[in-house]
Amino acid sequence: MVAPAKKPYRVVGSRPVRPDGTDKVTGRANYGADIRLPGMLYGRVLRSPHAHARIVRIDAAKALALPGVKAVITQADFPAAEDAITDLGETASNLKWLVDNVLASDRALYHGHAVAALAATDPHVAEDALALIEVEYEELPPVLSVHEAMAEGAPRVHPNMHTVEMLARFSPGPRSEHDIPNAASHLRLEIGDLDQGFAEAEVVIEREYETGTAHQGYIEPHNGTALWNESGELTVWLSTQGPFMMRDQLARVLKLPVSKIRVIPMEIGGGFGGKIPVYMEPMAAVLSKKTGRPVKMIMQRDEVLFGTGPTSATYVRVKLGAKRDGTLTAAEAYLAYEAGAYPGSPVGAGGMCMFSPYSVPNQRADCYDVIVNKPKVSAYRAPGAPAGSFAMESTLDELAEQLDIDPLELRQRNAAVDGTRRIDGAAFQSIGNEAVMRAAAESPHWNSELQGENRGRGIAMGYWGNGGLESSAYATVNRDGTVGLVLGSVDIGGQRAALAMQIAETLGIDYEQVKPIVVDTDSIGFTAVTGGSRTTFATGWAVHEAGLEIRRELEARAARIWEVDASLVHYDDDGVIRGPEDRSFTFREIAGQLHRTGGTVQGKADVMPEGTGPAFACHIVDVEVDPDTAKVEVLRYTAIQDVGTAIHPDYVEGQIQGGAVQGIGMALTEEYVYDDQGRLRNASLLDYRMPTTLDVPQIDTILVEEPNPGHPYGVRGVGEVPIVPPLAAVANAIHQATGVRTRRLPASPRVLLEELLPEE
Amino acid sequence: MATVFIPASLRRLCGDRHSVEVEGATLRQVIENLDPECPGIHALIVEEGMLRPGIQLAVNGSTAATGLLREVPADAEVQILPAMSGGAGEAPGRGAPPR
Repeated sequence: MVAPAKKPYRVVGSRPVRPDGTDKVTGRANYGADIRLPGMLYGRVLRSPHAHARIVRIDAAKALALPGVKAVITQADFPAAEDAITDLGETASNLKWLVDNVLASDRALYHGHAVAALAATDPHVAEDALALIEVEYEELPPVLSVHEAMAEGAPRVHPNMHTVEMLARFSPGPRSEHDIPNAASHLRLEIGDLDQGFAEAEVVIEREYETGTAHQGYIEPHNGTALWNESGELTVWLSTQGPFMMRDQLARVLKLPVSKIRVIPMEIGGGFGGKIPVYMEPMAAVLSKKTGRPVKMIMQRDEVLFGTGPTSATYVRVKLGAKRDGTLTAAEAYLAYEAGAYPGSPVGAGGMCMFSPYSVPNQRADCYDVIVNKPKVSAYRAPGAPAGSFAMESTLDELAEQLDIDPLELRQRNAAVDGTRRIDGAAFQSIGNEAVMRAAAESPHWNSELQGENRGRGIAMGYWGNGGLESSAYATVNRDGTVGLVLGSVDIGGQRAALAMQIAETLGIDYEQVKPIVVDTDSIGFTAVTGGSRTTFATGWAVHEAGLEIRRELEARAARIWEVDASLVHYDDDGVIRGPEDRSFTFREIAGQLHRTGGTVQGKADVMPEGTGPAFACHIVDVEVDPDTAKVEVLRYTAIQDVGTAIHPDYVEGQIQGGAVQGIGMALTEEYVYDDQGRLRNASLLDYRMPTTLDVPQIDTILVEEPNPGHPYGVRGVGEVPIVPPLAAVANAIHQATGVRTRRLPASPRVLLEELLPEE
Repeated sequence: MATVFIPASLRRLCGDRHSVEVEGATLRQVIENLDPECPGIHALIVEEGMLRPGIQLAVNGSTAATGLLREVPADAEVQILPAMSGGAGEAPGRGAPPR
């Protein structure tokens, strides 16, 4: 469903077939697993069975003696890593931690931490050989939650680490005055006067919430094939969201200049933020260097869950102050997010986003990044925002109940509008927050009657800031009137189609005339990750600029052909070049003359645009809770979102539906389960339970189009914000169905039964 | 004059002020002119003439893509933004940061 909006475009807003669709549905698309090279070896990784242990000794002699095994490596085979920050696009990371996470140095810091790797002529030999590597461990006590980790006297995972204040963290500044065990950092976000805000409040409510560890759940496991040739040049074929980020990380880890590394991105089977850091790729490179042969590594499913970055388990405490008419006067939060074994949780984003849909004059968020003996977390779709919003939106729902105000009405009364300041002091400009709330209030779902026992309806808002960053693109006019569009942005969610549509719109030609292709790092300028909801926005800017350059070039060429002054020639938006005396060329006509009138025309652009438009979403959900089993069934779901301009509405709706389902998974079923020794007990997709099509209804979408003035076609990033509201929306619906406030997610039957059953 | 919003963690450098007004046609000039008002803040934001990794500046709510080179219109608001994700601290085994 698309809310009415002015659509002055020819191509933008239509729903053409994606260029990569046929190859994908026929199995011809090439993924990393399809790579086969002459002489290729197969790599495998040995992982720690302990959550925390000192590595006393590694003896690979027996493995190396097995016929077919060509090399075994440990971190000692890597160049020494300096202590410096590397920028990963969505995150920044210390190189020493990055290398230690790839392969453990003196200690294994989580169950599944890589401690050694080998390469063999056959994948089965490689697997057999793993069992022959002898590792002597000295087990150490693990810390497994923020509560354990931050308790006074808790064992420190990194003994020399002390809490530092964010923003001073890369400088030789002072430590935090409040050193907390395993809290790597503290960030305070604040606006207004919190004490005054609570003093003005007539109602104050304070609640606590927790969420579990959830994985991105991409279906394609991590994979990489490396060839380090005799000239010292490294080529890597892999599945990544950011080939250039991968190149940069490999360069830092392996101490190679970027010019010696070529990263070739294959088709990608999902990422959601999880395919940005390096994991096996540096191991494959070092094994290739050691053996002189290409080395291919593919994670098993359990390795994906053991050894890559999920999102944080969290603890959030929220305190709200309000007038009796519902006007919010103060909002305070304490957030502690698990970072895993190395610093870098998205807790700052959690604190940044949770209050942003609302105009609250006095806000504070204290954010703690907490080390635990679990896998180092990675970005996951709106990293950090879902947990913070679960806490805020649940508390807001309870406040509405206390004040006897409709929960949507309460949100509308406090809605952030243009000029409202976020918690970091920045004022919103041109946002669609109110329009989203209005569309929700007018939606068929909100206005329908929910009937039946044990059923409830919940609503929640979500916010995400969206990203910009660098993008490059170039486009070549072919003599048959088509345009070759060359991109550095990996296509995860239909970006080839969305970018081809934008340049088609700029050039006034048909979508089918554009042939988009994603190329490797030697073939285009630096392009940041496909992530942060940035690609359709930022790379969209690049293809638009490339299209404008083509327009200018073709105007000049037509003027030369017609022997008139260039100022008399205009490239119009319908793709027709018009000159004096009713002369004109269609795009195809002039394309056919280029090679005889001066040669090919190309347009190129390297951009780093500002003006990213923030995204707001409102989700409505109906659930039914089985009173005997506490199983929650999602009956109906509607997601309303300001999408700026929907370039390809199918893919926008797909992003919203996918995000909503992932959020439902976080709300109801998805969670890492650890035993008391920190061993992950559900490292399979049978036991780590993601929703399937059988578990969720059709996710209805309502696209609100408030064009972003910072983009030529009004694009706002759409991919991340839809995962933000579902957690609270589902929890609020469960409350209406059962009377129980779910303060810990996922609300699995076990967790919910404890709340539903009488205390005996 | 640009109004620079000071994040909570740096207000101690600025006499607990939430915002400071300074002159400057570019972010580089704004941050240089901010340092006398908030002694030590320049070194926390700028390293070898560039923004430190993980620190972003925004002008009128838009993250400055060109970093310190970004022009600052008259009466603009400047925010010092925290990294939206990513961690902090020091590498294990490297000792405590100097006080």
